[in-house]
Amino acid sequence: MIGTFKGLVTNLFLAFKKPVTVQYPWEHAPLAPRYMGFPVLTWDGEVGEPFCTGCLVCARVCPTDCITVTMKDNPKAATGESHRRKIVEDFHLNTANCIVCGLCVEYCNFDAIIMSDLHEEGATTRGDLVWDLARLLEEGKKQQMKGWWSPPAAKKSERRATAPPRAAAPTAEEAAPSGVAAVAAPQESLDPRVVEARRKAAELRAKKAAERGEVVAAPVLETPSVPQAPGVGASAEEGVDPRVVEARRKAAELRAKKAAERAAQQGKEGKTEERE
Amino acid sequence: MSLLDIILVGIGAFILFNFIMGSVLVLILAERKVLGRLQQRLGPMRTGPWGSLQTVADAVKLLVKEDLRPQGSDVFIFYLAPLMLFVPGFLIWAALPFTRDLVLSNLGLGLLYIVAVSTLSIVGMVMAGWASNNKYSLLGSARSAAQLVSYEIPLVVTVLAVGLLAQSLNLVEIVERQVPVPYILIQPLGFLLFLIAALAETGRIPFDIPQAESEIVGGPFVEYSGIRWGIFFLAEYAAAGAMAFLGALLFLGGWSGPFSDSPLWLFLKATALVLLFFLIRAPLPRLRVDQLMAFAWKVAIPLSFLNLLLIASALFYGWPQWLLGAVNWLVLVAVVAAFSWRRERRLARLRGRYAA
Repeated sequence: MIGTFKGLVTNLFLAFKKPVTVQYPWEHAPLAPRYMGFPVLTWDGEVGEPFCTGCLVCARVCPTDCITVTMKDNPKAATGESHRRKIVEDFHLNTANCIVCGLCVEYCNFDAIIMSDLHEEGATTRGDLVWDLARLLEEGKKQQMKGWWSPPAAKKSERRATAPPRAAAPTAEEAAPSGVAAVAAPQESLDPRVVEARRKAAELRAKKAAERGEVVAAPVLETPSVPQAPGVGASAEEGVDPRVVEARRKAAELRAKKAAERAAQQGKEGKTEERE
Repeated sequence: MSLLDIILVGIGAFILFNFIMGSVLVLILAERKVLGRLQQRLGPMRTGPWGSLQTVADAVKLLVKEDLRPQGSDVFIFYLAPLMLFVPGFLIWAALPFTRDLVLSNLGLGLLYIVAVSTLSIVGMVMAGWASNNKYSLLGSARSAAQLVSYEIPLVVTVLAVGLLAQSLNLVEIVERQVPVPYILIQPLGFLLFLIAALAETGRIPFDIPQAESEIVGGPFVEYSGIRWGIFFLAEYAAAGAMAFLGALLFLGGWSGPFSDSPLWLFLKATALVLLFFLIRAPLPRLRVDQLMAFAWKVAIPLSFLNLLLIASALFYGWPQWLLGAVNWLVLVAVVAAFSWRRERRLARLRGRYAA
């Protein structure tokens, strides 16, 4: 009877806590960093063409056969604008079949396909679920603008050749191109808008992470300071937004509190066990 | 009784009926919202601002839903059963006073009337279960009959103890006798038993064995659809609300309050009891049938008789109220301690058995 009463009191206090419900279409739970949504194609802003050469590796490795690619001779290679002799002609991704496993991204030799953060893609007909090249590139550009991905300095094949053996170093950075991989990105090629957008995105991410009280806050925040793009350098190194600093401090406090609570909880549980 | 009287009573009944309907709508919404908060959810949020029109939408949906009747059912009884459940619920409300004067019919034996009428709901349950021609329904109605009959006894005996203490079965007089000290302080044991029995009578969650969605898919109401099912639902909540009001009248001092006597106090007290019902619902699982019966016959009934005996002897030997209250509190504490001790002992025994 006392136990029941205890349960009632506990539940009563629960009623004054913040509900965990997220009102979905209006509110979105924050996406995890490196969330894997549908794969999209990346855009080589330097040359003005997709990274994809239509080599079919992704189509062959795809476990659900949801990728269809065709290849053509690259007209820009003839004029010397591009180093790609072949280029993708058409690319179809059937999102109805795609299981978002990421194998295509893993196997792509040209950093041409990336996992996006798109996860709310519905359509009213099955045909609309098949994304064509134009849409994939458009979504990919949006991802790049958001700072979700940026072209790495070295080609994937080169990175792979120079990389230490797998056991020695984790290849997470290499496998999942994110802001972290942009460390030595060619600065002059970058559209200033992209730089700006990326900086903003990084700040936002840092803020979000700090709000969530995550440890990620610190490393993610330091990344944008590295590219040193003109006009960004001033604010990147020293001038971290005071709100960010504040948020980070709060996050640290919260973490300490949580840890203390956990410790207290464990102590309590230990005691109850002893008593019973 | 003149024609005018009849018309006046009719108008009063109409107002009361609408009051019940409105309060049931509010109750259902409040239950869903409060239960949601108790489970760290939000409850209904989509229909109307903060989901405030959810029950209205539900009611409209029930009204336009197809009215089904299973083949081989007993037509007349099938259609009569919802009414047989709802009418007693309404009849209880007819005798509940909101203030000294604001009462549809101030019966001299109001308490007896309420107890008698509330028992009628068993008939509705059994009729629904029998007429549906469905084994789940029948099982549910059998369970409900067993449960309601069992818990009717502690309910009646605790209510009788209140009547004995107040030396009246008139609800207005009972409230007026509680003016300095509400009866919850004088007989907490009685209040606890009343609360448990009221929960069981209205079939609310730790005692929702007759409905038991996970076992018998909804008990006597399985075969009902549309507004007939809605009437069952309505009756259930009307009964729960009536029980909350009855508890507020019998144990919490009714409309008498610190500043002035007003029906507002009664509403506040009843609301507090309703919230307590919601709170009890949130963390507790459903009892097993045998646990339910064991509690009724081995614990609730003996304790309610003990409570009655205490009050009877207090009246016979002319104890002052404080002494009676003290003894009653002592018995309550002893009962709770005995329960906890027994539980500990049983746990120790089980541990010993499974440790090896």
